[in-house]
Amino acid sequence: MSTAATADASSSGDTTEGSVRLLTLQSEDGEVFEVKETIATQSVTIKGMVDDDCATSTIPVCNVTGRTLAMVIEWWNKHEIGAVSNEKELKEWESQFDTIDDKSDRDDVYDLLMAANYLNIPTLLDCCTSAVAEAIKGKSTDEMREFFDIKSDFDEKEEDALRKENQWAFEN
Amino acid sequence: MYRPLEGDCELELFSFDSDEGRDAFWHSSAHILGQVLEMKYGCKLCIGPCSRRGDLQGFYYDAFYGDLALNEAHFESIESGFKQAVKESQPFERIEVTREQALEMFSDNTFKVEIINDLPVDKAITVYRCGDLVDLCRGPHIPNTSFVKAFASYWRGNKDRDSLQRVYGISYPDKKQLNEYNEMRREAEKYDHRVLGKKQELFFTHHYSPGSWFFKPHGYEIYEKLMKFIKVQYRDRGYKVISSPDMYNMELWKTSGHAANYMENMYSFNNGGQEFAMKPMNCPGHCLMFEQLVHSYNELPLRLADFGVLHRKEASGALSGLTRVTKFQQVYIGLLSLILIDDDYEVRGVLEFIEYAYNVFGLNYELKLSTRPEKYVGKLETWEKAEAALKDALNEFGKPWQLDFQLPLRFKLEYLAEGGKRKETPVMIHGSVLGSFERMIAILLEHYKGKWPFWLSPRQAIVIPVSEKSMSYARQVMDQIDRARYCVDVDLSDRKIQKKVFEAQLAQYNFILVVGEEEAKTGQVSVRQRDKADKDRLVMTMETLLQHFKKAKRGFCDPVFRLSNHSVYKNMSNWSDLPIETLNLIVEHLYYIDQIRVRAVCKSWRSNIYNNGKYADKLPWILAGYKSSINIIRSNPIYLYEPSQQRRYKVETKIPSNFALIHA
Repeated sequence: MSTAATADASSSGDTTEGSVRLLTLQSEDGEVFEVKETIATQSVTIKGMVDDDCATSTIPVCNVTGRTLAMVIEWWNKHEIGAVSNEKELKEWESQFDTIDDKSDRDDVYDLLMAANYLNIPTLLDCCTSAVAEAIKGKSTDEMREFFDIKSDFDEKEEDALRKENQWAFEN
Repeated sequence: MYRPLEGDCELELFSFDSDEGRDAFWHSSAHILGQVLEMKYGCKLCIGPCSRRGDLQGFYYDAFYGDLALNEAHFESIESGFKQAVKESQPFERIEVTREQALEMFSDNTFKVEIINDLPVDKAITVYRCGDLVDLCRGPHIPNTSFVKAFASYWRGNKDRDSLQRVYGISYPDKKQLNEYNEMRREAEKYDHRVLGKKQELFFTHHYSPGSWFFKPHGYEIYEKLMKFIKVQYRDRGYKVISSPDMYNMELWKTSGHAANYMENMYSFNNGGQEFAMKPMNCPGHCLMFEQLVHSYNELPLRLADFGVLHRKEASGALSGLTRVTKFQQVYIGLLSLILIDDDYEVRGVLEFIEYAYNVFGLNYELKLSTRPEKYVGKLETWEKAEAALKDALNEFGKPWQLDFQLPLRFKLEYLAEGGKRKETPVMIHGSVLGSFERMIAILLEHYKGKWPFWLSPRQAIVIPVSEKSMSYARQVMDQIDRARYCVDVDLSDRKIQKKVFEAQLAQYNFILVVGEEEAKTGQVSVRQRDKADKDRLVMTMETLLQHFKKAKRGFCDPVFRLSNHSVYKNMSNWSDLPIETLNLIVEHLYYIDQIRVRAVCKSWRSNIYNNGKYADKLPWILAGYKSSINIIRSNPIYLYEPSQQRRYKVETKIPSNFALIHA
């Protein structure tokens, strides 16, 4: 009977729930999440691991805290095919990421961006980058610096040169 | 309950939901149980208390039954007797008696006589009657037996333990609660560590050494793995592991206060004319170590760890599997440190250690808190200051801690304070990270329901040859895995393969490796993993398998612990450090004009933003002047018109004359 066993390329995951495999993800700070494989593979990174059969046992998701990973999983759940009946509802749910005027929202979106980048989740990346872009639009360079808490590391001469290059864009 | 109130008083009513109400309810139930046992079996009742402790909810009655050995069959009869008593609505009657009356009343029961003689002489003795039973009791009780609507009896412990037999009971004011309780108990019994430990051949006990456990090879494997885990932690967290003696002269225990307060739990013996005792705790020994290691403040904090074996005497009725034992090895960390009132760093370190360890196992925990005792030693001021500082640390973690000012004072421990003139007394923090190995193994066995994670598993893999022909290959595979230091077994019995696989599954091997002639030829193994469907079998080479093992072993994910940094995981948004791809995805959503401004924010953004011509602008920009003549453009200001946002920008720069339209 053993000789009849063949390699099943897509088989992986820690445990099984019915016919859906569960993957175990562990955040940087040690929180453990069990996620359906069908959902977690919205992450291109995880999908790659599953396809290469590297997703056995716990998958450490370094650089992502448990708090952020929970948000990511919520995102996956909402974006699972068939999870939300209509597009409008989904857009409405996504709209919570639209404004990042609050510092705390901004921090959340930053964490999500990093997670979406690391895990390679196209839908989440798109949503978060749009939100950040929306916030940037129409702001002057100085306003952007304040908004993102970035100190200019150009010296005076460089700063002048920058502005000269496209003076019209800085003056109007 | 019907006792009249004799004077002004505060009246408080308790329901079953309160501790007091529950106590009275179960205590009353114990009386009913005692009545049934005495009537049916003529036993001599001893004590019948109630308990709210998690694993021992309900009540019991210890009694002497002569030659009768109770068994499962008796419980039906006990339960029906109980039901009968409940049906009769027997009132609980309180009677006050004199000592002489009480002694006469219970003259045929030596246990009760003993109890009466132990009661304080000046206090009135009360007995309660319910049905035919009159029992010594302080009360209070429920009004009558009819309040107990649901009851079940069962029985734990060892038949041949001693001459007393204990019948446990549980009762509730309604049937539903009893059913819930029974469900919970069935579940707990199935995964009881004593049951699983026997099934998995991990440990056993022998009546020649009650309360001490033998660990079989597979059991000790877990023991050692836990020890290894904790040793690495000690190393990373700056603890020094020491070894200290198991027995000490009674003089030490007198100094530590154990002789006065803990003697009944200690094994003492005469050693060449002098009284000695086995250590029940490590800390007093560590005080002697302190004297050797620390002289001045710059040698503190002293973080000590000890794998010492501890012995504690437990009443035989209290022994319960691996959770209450007479001999155990405690994972002890003794921390002798000077407390810096402004900096609760050491306590935090201990708490974080504990938190980390329990997180690895996915356990919830609560620690016993030793706060300032009534008879505290030391200055009140010191206590208050330290307690306040530590409360902060505690609030942050939400977990209790242990702190000891007494022991260092008792041992007159001192160190030279900063400046070299004053002597100060250190403060001791002690904690036990895993409790004891014995207890931890019991807890984990129940927590994992017998399915050990790969890294802790004493049965990581088993090799099963399909037939005799592949036996030598099976041995070879086993050797290879064994050399890689995994716990591997091989089943070379001549039973059917299906049977062998089934048994290996029952034994909870993480990996079952079946090998036949085909595998032998190609140097592969057919792998089944625990908890996975049969269709998930994989055939892999030995090399892949061992890599697989390596990964599985790391499975519990060991984030690097940094002693100096408690806010490793704090949110630290650093927007200038955005990954290049992410930054460019953002920029692609922007209009050309915003992109110019974004590029000027900081150096990293400037150098990381691609110049790839991807903009949010859908429409071409328009370059406009006041007059259409190209010559005029050269000398007059011109405008850039951005159709997407319908904005215009004045441009002073000279524009090349050979184009009229810019798609920026």
